[in-house]
Amino acid sequence: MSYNPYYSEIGSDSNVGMAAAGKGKNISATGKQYGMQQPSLGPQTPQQQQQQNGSYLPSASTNMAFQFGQTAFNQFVGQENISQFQETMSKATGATNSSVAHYFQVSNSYVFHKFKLITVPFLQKNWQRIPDSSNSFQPPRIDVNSPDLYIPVMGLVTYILAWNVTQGLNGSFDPENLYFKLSSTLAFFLLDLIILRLGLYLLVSNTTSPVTSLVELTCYVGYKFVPLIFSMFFPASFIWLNRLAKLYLFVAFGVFLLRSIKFNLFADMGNSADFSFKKGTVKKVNYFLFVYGFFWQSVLMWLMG
Amino acid sequence: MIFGLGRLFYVVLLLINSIAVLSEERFLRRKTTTHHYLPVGLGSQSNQAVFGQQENTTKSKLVQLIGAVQTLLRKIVRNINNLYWWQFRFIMMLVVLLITIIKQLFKVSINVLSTS
Repeated sequence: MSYNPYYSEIGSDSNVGMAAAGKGKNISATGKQYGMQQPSLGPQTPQQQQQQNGSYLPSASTNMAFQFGQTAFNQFVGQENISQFQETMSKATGATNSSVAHYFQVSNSYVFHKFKLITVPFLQKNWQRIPDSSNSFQPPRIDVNSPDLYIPVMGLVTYILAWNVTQGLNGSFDPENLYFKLSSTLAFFLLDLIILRLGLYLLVSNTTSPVTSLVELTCYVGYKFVPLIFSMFFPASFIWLNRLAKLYLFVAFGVFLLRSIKFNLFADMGNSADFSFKKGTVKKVNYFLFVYGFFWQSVLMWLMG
Repeated sequence: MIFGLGRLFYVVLLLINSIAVLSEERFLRRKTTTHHYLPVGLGSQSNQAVFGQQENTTKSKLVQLIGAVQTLLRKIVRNINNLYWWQFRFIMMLVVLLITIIKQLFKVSINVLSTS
C-alpha cells in the first residue's frame, strides 16, 4: 500500500456518499481499496505509481502510456462494472436496481411470456423496456422486455442435465460427460460473450445505455439455452422434423436477440440533445447484430447441440 | 469434448499474445520506413487525436485496445522478469498443483454424486 498524505483525503472524499448511507467503516475501507484502482484520481496517480513500484522509477512517457492503457482497458471492461460490483457487495441483500438481485426478480408469468417471446418473436410489437422513476428500468417481473438472469442460470443446469438424459436414452451415459459438457458449454458461453462485448465495444461509442454492461449481455447470451432445450424435444429419429424445428428455433432466436438488443441500445439516445448518434453507427451495429444473431448463433448452437 | 474451458484459455492466451507481439514500426504504422512489410495504419501514432480528446470511431477504438493490451502485458512481463528463477518456478508449481487439485475435485465430486 502506498503511503501518500493526500491519499486518505481523496479516498474519504469519494466515499462520502457511501459513508452517509450508514454502512460504517468497513465499506469505506473497501471503497478506498477500489478507489486505488480507478484511474480518475487526478494529479496524484503518478506519485502513487512511483511509490508502489519502489526501486523502479518510470519516466513520464511510460506513466502516460500506462494510464492511457488502463483507461482504455477500463472502458473495455466497463467502468460501471467495477462500481456495480462494489455496490453489489455492499447491498447484497437488498433488491435494489443496480445489483444482480434486480435481474432475479421474476415471476411465473414473466418466464412463460419470455419463453413465448423467444420461440415466437414475430408476434411482439413493442420491444422497449419500461423506464423507472429513478433513471433506470423496471425489474423483470413487471416488464417482459427486461433481461433477467434466472432463465440463463436455470437453462444452463437444465441443458446439461437434459443433454445427459438424451445420452442415457441412447444407452451411452457416462458420468464424466457431465463434467465435459459443463466445461464445453461454459467455454462456448464465454466465447460468445467475448465476441458480443468486443463487437459492441468497437462499434458503439460511449453509450449510457445499460445494455452494454456485462451483466445484461450475459442475460442475452444465456437465452440461447431455451431454443437448445426446446430442440431436444423433437426426436432424432424423424430427421427432417428435427432439422426443421432446429432451423425455426434458431431463426426465431436470432430475431429475438436482434430486436431486443437493438431497440434498447439506441432507446434513450433520442432524448438527450447533446448526444446524437450517427446513422452510420446504427447501420454498422445493425449489420453486426444481424450476422451475430443469425449466422454466428446458428453455428454456435449447431456446434453445441 | 474437444473444446472446453482449458482450450478456451489457450485460445484467449494465444490471441492476446498475438496482439502483444505486433510490431508497431513494421506492421501497424501507416508510413513505414522499411517497405518490405504491409502497413496497416493501426499504430498509436498514426491517427491519434489531440491529447485529452477521445475519438470514437471503430478504428481508434481498435488502436486503443491494441495499445492497452501491449502496455498492460509489458508491465506484467516486466514484473515476471524481476523474479528470481526459483521464485518463478515455485509460483508455476503452485499454479499447476492448484489446477490439478481443482480438476480432480470436479471429477471426484461428480463421480460421487452420480453413484450415490
